[in-house]
Amino acid sequence: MWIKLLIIFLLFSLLAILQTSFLTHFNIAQTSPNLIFILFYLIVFFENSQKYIQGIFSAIMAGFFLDILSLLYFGTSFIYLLIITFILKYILDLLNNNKGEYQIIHFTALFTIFFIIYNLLHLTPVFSRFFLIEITYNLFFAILGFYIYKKFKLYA
Amino acid sequence: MNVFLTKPNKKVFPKVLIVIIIFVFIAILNLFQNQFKNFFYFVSEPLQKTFWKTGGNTSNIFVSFLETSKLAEVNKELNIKNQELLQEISTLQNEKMENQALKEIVNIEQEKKFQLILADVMGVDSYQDYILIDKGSENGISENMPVINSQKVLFGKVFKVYKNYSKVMLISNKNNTLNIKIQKDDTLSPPIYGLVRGENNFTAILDTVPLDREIKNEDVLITSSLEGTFPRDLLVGKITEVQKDDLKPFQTAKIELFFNLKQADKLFIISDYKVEN
Repeated sequence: MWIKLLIIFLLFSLLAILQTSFLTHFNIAQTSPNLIFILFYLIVFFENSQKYIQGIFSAIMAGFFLDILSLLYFGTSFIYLLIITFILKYILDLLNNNKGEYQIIHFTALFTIFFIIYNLLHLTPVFSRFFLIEITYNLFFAILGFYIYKKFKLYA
Repeated sequence: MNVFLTKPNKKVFPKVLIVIIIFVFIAILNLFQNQFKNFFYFVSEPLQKTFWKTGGNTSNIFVSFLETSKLAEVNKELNIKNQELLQEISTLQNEKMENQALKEIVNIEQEKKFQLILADVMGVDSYQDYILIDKGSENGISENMPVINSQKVLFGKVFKVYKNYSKVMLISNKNNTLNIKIQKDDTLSPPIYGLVRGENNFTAILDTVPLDREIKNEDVLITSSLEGTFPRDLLVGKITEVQKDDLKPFQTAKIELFFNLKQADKLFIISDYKVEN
């Protein structure tokens, strides 16, 4: 478990640096992917909906890095992500999220909803052309992550 | 026997303790947030700079590959533009001679006003339109200092200063407004002033231009120094689409900002700009 948490920490650190430096050069219509949020979402989505350790740890790590890269006070993003973790777990529990054929549909729909919620919490305007492009761009990376996660059975 | 640690309380206690520890940790982080952020930037600086440069080079390869098909068209446009410019050059040559002496005096005065500090870009917060540079309070940086590139294109102003690093608020940030002047060929008519408002996502709009003043696409916007933060005549952007509505007291316009983050490795911070009277 500790090794897994250490890997999660290292992954978040790497993605934080990658997101603010390398990926900035690959903006599409002035929008860029939020890799930290995507990784956080992947971890919470694939963790057993009855368990919380990885989800909460990811919320702490993702929140920490999102706040360190922005001008927000520490804890702001962590609280938002913690709320998302609990709601997402509750919904996944209701959906009885098995590893079946509908998993990708659940994944995509919930990602879109929670990405909008996350941006609304940060007071980002979500009714704009830019946001539509941003959500599509992020969804692309999220779905890519979904298949990588499944391929390498990272949830096991 | 401890009466508070009954069986159900024993289960709840560790959870409550964890929550308390997390909140105490957050409070400590906030108390020393400048030091923590400075430390993180310090540790990640080599990797961040390497990724920034690699990203720039990789995206240049992609861009040049994607734009190959447009080259013929661009070449044709440039030829036409070149001919127009040649004509303009001959006209301007005469005026240049006359203005040379005057210009030199003005330039010397401006150089005197600008003390520049060179900084490298380390990263971009594209969600809020900030950039991170590798100079901080130790290098003489303080808040509100204007940030430009070598072509005097305005990027923004220093917003938050750490010990060795600073966050620069780009002019496209939604909290940023900037007084500008529209550059016109006709020097006899009174100058047109307006306000550039940031809209995030590296975009901005031109606002509060009086309805009776004529503005058109490709008009260049420069700083007017009316707000006292930026020196005058720094390049801001150009108009791409004028939006006139007779029901509104002012006309607005979409603009294209001149700053280009992909080519912004080195920036300059004007460290001793004094408001002109």
